Amino acid sequence: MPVILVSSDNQDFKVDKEVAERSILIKNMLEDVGESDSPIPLPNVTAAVLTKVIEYCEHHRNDPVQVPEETDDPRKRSNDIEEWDMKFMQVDQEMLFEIILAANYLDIKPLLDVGCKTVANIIKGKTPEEIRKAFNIVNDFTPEEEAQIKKENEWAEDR
Amino acid sequence: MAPIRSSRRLKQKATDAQDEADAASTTIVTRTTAAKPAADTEPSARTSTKKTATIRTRSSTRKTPTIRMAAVASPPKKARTVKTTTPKASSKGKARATTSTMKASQENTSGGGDVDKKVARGKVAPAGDDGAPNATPKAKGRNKGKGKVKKDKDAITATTAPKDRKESKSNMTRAKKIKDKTAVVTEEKEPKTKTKRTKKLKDETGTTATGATAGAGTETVAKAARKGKGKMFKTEGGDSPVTPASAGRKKRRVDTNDNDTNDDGGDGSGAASSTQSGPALKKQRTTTSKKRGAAEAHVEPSKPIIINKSDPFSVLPTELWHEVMSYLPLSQISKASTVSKGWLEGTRSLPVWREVCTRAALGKPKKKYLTHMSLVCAQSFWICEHCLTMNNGRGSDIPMPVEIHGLANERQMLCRDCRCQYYKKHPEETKVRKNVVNSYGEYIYQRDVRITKTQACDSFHLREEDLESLDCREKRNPHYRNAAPMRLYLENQVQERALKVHGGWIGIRAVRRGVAKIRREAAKTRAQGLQTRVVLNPDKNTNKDMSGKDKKSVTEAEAKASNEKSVQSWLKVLRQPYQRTQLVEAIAEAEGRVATGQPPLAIKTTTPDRKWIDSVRNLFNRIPEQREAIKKIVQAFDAGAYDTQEAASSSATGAATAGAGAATSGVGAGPSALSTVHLP
Repeated sequence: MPVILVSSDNQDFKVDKEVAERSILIKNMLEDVGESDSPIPLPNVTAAVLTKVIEYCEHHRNDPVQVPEETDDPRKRSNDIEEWDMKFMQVDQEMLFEIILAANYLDIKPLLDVGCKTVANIIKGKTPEEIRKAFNIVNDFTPEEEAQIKKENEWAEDR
Repeated sequence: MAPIRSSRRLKQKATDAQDEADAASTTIVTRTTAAKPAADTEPSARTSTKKTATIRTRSSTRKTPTIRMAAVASPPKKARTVKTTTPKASSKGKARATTSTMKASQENTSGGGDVDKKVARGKVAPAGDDGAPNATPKAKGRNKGKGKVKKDKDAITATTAPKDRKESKSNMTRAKKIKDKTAVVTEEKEPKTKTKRTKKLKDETGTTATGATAGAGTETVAKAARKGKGKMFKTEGGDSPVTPASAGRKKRRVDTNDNDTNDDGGDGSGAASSTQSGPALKKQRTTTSKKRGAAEAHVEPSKPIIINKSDPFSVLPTELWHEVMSYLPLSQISKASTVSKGWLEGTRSLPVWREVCTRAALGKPKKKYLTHMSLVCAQSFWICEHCLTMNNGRGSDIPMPVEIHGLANERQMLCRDCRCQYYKKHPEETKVRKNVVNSYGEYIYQRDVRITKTQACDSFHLREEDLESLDCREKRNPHYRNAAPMRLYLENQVQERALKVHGGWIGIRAVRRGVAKIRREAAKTRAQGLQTRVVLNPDKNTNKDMSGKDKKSVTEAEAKASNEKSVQSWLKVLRQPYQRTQLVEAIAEAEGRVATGQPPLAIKTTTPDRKWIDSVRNLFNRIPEQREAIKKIVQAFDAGAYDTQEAASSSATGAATAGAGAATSGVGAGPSALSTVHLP
């Protein structure tokens, strides 16, 4: 049974219920409303982003529901992204952040995780200058401030 | 005179509540009607009227529809009168309101009682609700009137005025909340209005004073002063003769009323008399400043926030930012903190720092380390990035950087246990010697190479207990026949055992090199470096502790004392020609590296005799301020600045300080005292 999703710019997207229910938000809405043909408005998601999200959900429609793993590792690992997901996330940064925000809004945990991991991987292993270049950030520290912060927040390595 | 004035003020304050309503109500209608005769008689009054008109021009036309309706209901002249009855104008013109004008206005509004009501309501409306700008005194003919509607009008104004004041107050706050900018503009314009009003009221006072002696026209003005008093006017009526002095007093009272009313309405008012208006002005100033402060506070958030859409910190909400950061190792987060101010805030707010502080029992941030993050970073030598525990133990227990499999650039500081777990999944290869020959000159197969127990314990830092589980071959001791037999272990097995015990080759290396000890030294130096920052940096924030006490004086005194000490120790070094040469070379070397843009040196001490100079070289590379300070000491020493000191010290301490022993102690003290050396 198809579900109609309406993006913020009033574009309709007809998707299978199974696909739409990858989003916990839509799933709960459908459960609350019951059998209904009325379209589901998604005022926080644009058509472009919704297209990507639906693409992701289509690809992962048969994935089992994720159970949070109980590991003794307090830090999460960011190097376990599937190949397809990695390619899927090869978009410009603006779109990447939009996808993350949409995944957060629609409550699609796996997509949110993949998005966050991708951002983390961009940051990982880079020097502050490289990070600035990667995200087009302006350094708003004065040289003195920067030196001070480096001194204070220096992480001892390679000794 | 002062107490009398104050008592008057008190009396006036007591009657204020009652006066305000009436005074306000009477002035509403009479303001502009009174202005006309005054304008006719006195040039000063004319100027004041003009000023009123100019002030009025600022007002918005929100009230225009009502006014228009009034204009339809009454003749054009009346309509004009109504238009001119603006709140500000009314408050100014209280003193000049007359019975005749009052009556005239009321009479003219026959069937225009409604108009008065409207006006009365409009009177205390916010500044923006003022009447139309064409407030010219054209109500001349209307001054002849009957007092028919007077009572009704009084009743209306008496009931409506306080209510309206409240409304106006709420209106003002609402307006502030909704339109910050508008509020700011209004607030900024107020002082101008105030000055204008001051001038105007002074003019009016002048008019009143002259009016008392000027005949019919001026009598109207004097009556206006009485009229402005509201209740006073009712009781006194027109019976009691009005002297200029009493008129002035009454006027003063009216002015104070004005001030109060204007405070509420947010309308500026001037100081009619210097003595009376003092406190009122003060009060008003404070309220204005408060309002300004509030307006500024409102303005701040309305500043345009520039969002860099490609910056995750500015795009993502805090929770998602934390989620992203949770995938990064602590070392990377600390690196990321220097990207921008926003990122610094974002990284400091991460809950992981607090968690580490709790797990490692680091305590709370205090004056030296102001945030959890800096507290953790200060202990980063000992914190495992995997399990977030702290380990400042010995040997291989300390966290060591491990290259994470599959990620080219990722290195994490892992403690021994975490390394062991990691290498269980990703085992390392043993490094068995190749081409080993036995006593017969035959090559031994790599797997069969054996080493003695002593070799195993020395080279791999294993204990006998660690080797107990391994197979060994016993042979007669080659050195002493009667000694215990020699135990030979397979080197491959010993290495495997050592890898397990120390957590990889990096653990073994850490034990061999005594990394824990080096780190302890480095941590001390770093802590001292942070301490000197407090002394060297004259920044206000760093010199104040959490309680806000100034700790600069204490640290400076300490620094001075330690500085003296360290200079002495450096002088001892400089007195030894060989060590002086080494020191000068070290300075030159560090400067050369800086000049050529080479990275700072990280020398590892190999021999004990080079230990002190290597540590000095390291410090010179790492801390340029210290290098400069020592350089200056050397220059001063060469110039002979310390010669007299030397003579004095030599005479005092005798020969005991000279010689090799003194030099050695100087050498030892030099580098350690480096951190406290100041620029002379």
